[in-house]
Amino acid sequence: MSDLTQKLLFTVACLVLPVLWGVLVNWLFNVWHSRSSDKNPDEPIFPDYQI
Amino acid sequence: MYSSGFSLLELFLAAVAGAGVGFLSGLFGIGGGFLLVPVLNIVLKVPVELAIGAGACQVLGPSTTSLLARDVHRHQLRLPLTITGGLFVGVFCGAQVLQNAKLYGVVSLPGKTVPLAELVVMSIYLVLLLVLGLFALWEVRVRNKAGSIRRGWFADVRFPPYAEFPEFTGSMSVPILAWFGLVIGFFAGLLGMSGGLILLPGLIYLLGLKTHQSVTGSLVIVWIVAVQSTVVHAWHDNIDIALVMSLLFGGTIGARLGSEFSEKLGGRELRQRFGWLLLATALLIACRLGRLLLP
Repeated sequence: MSDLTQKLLFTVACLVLPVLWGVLVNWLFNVWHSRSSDKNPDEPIFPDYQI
Repeated sequence: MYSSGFSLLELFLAAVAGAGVGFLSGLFGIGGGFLLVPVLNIVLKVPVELAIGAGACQVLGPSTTSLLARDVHRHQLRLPLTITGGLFVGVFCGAQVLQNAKLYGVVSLPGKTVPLAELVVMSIYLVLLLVLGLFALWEVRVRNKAGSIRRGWFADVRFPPYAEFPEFTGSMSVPILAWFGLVIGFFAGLLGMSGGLILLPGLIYLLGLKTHQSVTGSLVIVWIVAVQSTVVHAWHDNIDIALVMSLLFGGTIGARLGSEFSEKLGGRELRQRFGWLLLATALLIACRLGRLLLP
């Protein structure tokens, strides 16, 4: 594999992995919120993580 | 940096540092890149260019989560995308300055040699954190006296062409927005921070956006900056993917705990503590610079 292709693949991996992590965390919190709201609908929801 | 040069213990310590920074990020509602780079470099002795690359890349995780959790409407993208032109140039220039400093190597001082990249990055961090920390404390002091700080310092600058945005009452100068993006992008590319630290006060005080309007716009801009910074720093071999994943893992847990803890503190108290946090980080950097520069 050429150096250029390796760099391109590495750059794509650097972009995709953190985004996948972000999607996974969001999905987990959605599941968690839907389960906890099933149990107690009046429970306050904490503000999401802000930049 | 395709393969990690860090041991398992170093990656564990990075995850712990990420959790600590994530906690403060969640507590104050900020990205935390400005904390992460000095902590990785000064406490864990990670080379500054790798700390910057890791800081820039790991922001993609929490900013993706935040964007997905928000209902972003199409009209809210207009301002961030207008600023993006300046951001692109700024990130490229900032990363290029870092790359040149990295390639230059070390500068000789009486009795020692100092890495130029570390010297440049830490000096700029010191000035930036001092200015923003003092500004945050001054802002709290003015509000405690029931006063207010004028917003939109650049909103009235007349420099054509202009564009209409739902966030502003009148028309806004497009060059002012582009140059604003240029400055944010430059600092993000050079320092590895998400940009949110200067973006939010910039949007509020320089451009005159209301706080609730600026948060979504800021999130979109931070995500765009993170994507571009990641590409540029990956291309310059400044990213260690194992280090990034350690930071993401620790940071996610810490951020969640911090955001839950922030519920217990009032907004003004948070802002004041945030100012002190910036000044404490500046002090840490000043100590590091002192050790670097003094014989």
